[in-house]
Amino acid sequence: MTTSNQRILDVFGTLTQEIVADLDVIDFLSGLTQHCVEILGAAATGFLVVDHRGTLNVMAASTDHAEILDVLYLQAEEGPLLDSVTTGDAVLCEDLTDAAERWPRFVSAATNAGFDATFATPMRLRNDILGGLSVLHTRSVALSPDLVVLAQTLTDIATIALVNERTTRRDELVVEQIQAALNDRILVEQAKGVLAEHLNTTVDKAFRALRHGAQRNGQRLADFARAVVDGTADTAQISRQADSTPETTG
Amino acid sequence: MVPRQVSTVDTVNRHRTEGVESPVENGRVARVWATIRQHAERDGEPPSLRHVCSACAAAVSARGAGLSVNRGHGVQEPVCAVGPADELEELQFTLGEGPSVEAFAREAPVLVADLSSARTNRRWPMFAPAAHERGVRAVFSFPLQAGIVRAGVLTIYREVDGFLSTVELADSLVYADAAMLLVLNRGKQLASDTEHQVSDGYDERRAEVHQAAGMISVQLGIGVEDALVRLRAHAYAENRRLADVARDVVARRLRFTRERADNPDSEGPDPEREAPA
Repeated sequence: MTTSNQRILDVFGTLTQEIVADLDVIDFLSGLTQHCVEILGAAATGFLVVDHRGTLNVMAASTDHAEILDVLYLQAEEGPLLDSVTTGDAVLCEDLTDAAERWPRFVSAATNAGFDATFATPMRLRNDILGGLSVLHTRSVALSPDLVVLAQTLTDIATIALVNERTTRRDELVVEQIQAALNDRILVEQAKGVLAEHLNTTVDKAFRALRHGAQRNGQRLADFARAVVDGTADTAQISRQADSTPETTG
Repeated sequence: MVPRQVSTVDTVNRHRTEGVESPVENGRVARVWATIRQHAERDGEPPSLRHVCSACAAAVSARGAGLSVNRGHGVQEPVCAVGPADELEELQFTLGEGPSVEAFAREAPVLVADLSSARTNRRWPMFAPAAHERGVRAVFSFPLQAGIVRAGVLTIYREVDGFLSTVELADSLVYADAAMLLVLNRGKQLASDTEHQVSDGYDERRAEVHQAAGMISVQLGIGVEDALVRLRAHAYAENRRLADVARDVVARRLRFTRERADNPDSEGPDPEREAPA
């Protein structure tokens, strides 16, 4: 692990503060995938959750890069994340070439996308598994027990955020909470497309403009996304703000 | 440490006494579509919304199920029903109250296990007694939605009280997905076989599909639902996967143009390709 203990403490402090405050789950999970990249020294990370269909669905990813998204989506059918969700254990693979027989399609897609090592940790809630965290590395790494425990802690934070957002509403089951969160995520994707077209930019940059706009307006990301899609948000203003926002990396 | 290829670590609960049950069930969507096809074949017709209703009702041991679709401007219209749902769907829209109306407005499932309770009678003072009179004891409504797109509502009418089981609830949500796909097909037979329908539904979850729908809605100056309809119709016409076409739109290898979209005589969407900028 290369991240300093102080930095890890800072990130955990920020994350738990967000959870006890008014949590915006889609924004939170998107940000969390970035923190996972940093703290776990990974190239890409993503959270997948089991939806009502009984299949794994990407809830948040650290990137919009199509090839990497493919590697995440593919794990709905095969790969360490599916195995982790099925067994409830963390699944580690320090060298992908060793796992070509176990996960032929996943290993092929992951190595083509430039990954060499990977692991997955499960999102557990009591005796249920809601999904998992997929961590992808671009070099063979020693997956130390400390690293895996750290990843599991970050995964548990995601679980708490996912099921906590709506506990104040009655009559809602976990399956409905997940469905609502997935639907909010679709809304955000639609808004990214609308904004990318208005601003004539990439969906990645449109997402940054969207998050920024939501923060400025003090709105939940999904609520602001709705305003963008239904045309009530001022896209010209978002455009000006996006132009004046320095680009951040990672 | 012993060299390992793939290893597993129980990081969560080293002292757990019972194993977890896998939540993943990759066959559910195919199983649901197979029942819809069975109901369609019985009628000697291609699968339609009516077959979603009848197959869904059978799957959850209900007497009736009904579907309403969104006609825009907040207008919801019943389009098909089986069993007692027929009258009850109409009644809800006449009265402006009931589970379908509420699920549509709230954009969330409405699950009522006991229609005769005092609480339900206060909630729907006219609908609840009318439904009870027709032998209905529990109602469950599921919106057909994808982000901003609200295509309609699937409602199940059961003559026994009590909640749906976990499996019935999950199945109902998948029947609602199937209904959504058929609504988005706009009456055309796009997906011809179950395998196609399953992969179609699978692609429907991809981020790129919804990003592309957002982009097309701006390109054509139309709503996101219509943009999604056009995207799907284009993928079908070109015999390509929805996710692949969506990716072309997001990468700006494919653009939908307004002239073609505005021409009602054109044979479906026929977007012009433009070279990447």
